[in-house]
Amino acid sequence: MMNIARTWLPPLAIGTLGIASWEIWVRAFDVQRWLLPPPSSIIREIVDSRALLSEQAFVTLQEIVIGFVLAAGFGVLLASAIAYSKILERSLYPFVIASQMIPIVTIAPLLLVWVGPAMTSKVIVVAMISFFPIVVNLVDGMKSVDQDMVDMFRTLGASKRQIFLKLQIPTSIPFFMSGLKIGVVVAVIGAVIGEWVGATGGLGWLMRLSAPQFLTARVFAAIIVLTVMGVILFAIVGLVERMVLKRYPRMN
Amino acid sequence: MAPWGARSGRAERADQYLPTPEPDLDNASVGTMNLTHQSANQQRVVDGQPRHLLELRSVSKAFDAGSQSDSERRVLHEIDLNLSIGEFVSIIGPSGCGKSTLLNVISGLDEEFSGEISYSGAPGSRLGQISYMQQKDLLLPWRTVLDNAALGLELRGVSHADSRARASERLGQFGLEEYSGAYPAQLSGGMRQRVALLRATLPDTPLLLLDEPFGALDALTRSEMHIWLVGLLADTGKSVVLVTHDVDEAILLSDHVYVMKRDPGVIDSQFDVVIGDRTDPGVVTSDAFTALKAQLLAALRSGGTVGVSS
Ligand SMILES: Nc1ncnc2c1ncn2[C@@H]1O[C@H](COP(=O)(O)OP(=O)(O)OP(=O)(O)O)[C@@H](O)[C@H]1O
Ligand SMILES: [Mg+2]
Repeated sequence: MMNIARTWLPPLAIGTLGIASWEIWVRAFDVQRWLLPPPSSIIREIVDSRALLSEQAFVTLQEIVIGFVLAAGFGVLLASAIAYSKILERSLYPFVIASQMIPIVTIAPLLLVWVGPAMTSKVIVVAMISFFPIVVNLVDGMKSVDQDMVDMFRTLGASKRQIFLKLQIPTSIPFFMSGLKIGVVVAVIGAVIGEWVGATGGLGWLMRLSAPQFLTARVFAAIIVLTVMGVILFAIVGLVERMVLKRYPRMN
Repeated sequence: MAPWGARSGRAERADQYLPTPEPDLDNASVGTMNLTHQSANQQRVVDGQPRHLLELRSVSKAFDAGSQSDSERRVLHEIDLNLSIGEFVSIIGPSGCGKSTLLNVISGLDEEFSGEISYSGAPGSRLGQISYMQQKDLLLPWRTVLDNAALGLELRGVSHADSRARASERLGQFGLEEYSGAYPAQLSGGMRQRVALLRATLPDTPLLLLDEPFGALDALTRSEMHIWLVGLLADTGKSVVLVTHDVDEAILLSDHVYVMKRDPGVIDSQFDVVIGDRTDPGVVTSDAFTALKAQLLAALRSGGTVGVSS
């Protein structure tokens, strides 16, 4: 009980203090609502537009989940290829890194032209942006095997394939989980960028639509819903990580 | 003389490892040969096949000296060693004399050496053909005791269930029954060593290399493991090369003891172990035992060794 209080009380106190000063400041100086709405009207907006917000949040969530799962799957394949073979590493890794040098905001409009304004283009942006931390972490993990362990496998007559499956893959699991955590966070950003450039729905689309209409409270409401969604997704990956890493006592 | 009693039974299973069966070889003659085997260079040939399971001819090895100019550090120098089927030899010597390096070379892990090694009379990689328990336990932290022990069998294509079942049968003898589902991080150093020993001994190979396998064990567990090891050898006819710092252990278990010196690592002297009944606890105080122990300690000391436990 004391522990829960100790972990949650400080951020709660800071948050409450921040929101309270924001509210007071906006009211005291009579700031225009379309410039900066007070927290109370943002909360009211969330309550009033809950149907719209949850509908758009669901669109964004779908883009994030599909893109992230694709990135994880593709990332595992790519990382395995890179870690398994020197030739594949030399031929693939430069392109993996180069892919992250392309500014995503310049690719996103092109994707729109190529595949249309439907969900697909957003899913691709999410996957493109989140596969990178997954691949890099996995490759590092697969290569971080202890040479003594590899030797032990060799004395038992293990083939390269067996060493990969039974030693390199398990060794890389904690690294993979770190990659997933970073990946899920950038996936949220990727979805919003994708929607911002052009979409028919989603929280990013809603923000883009509301800002020019001076519906600032709605923009803030969308930001809050997006933030909460991102935190929950991160927490889910963190939970999976903790479950998986229970089997890695020494590395935990 | 068959000091371990059951040991004369080795030859029956031992024959399976021979390149060609030798029908005229009765159990007694193998036992006698092991224990009276005198010269390291002696080589018996039957039907054109070498009698030795393992032969090392002037094996030398150098490591790069690192920062020190472009010279090399000679670690092993002209090592000759023969091992017959069912034979048990120990290697003792000061820390850093190259004992682990020698086992790495024998096991096939380290292929950068000069000289010749033949194993089972056949050329080619020895990896997977020799069981090697390294100095470090090297257990996989994500596998339970049982799954760690079963790894060697699993890698040989034995099904997951079968390899676990076979490992499980042995856990009791190793005092690990209650820890079957525990992870290595939950074990003591001595327990980890036993898991590593179990993993190394489960696959059916003719030769077992042990690098200080009982270093972390208490005296009682250690002597239990000695009895177990001797029983295993009697049942399977395996040959053993044991590296140890414990002179008593070397005498109690071996047919021959090699003493190594360092800089460069050479086999300095070789002793044949001829003592009474090894199963008799009183053997350690027998004249033959104490005389041999004194000789071994003197040999170690002349190599500049201090502080070798005895
Ligand atoms: N990879 C390596 N590179 C350079 N030198 C090495 C390497 N491995 C071992 N050596 C050197 O070779 C020598 C022999 O090492 P080795 O591990 O074989 O000794 P050891 O007899 O097993 O010692 P201990 O009883 O302490 O285990 C040491 O002096 C060590 O410094
Ligand atoms: Mg050593």
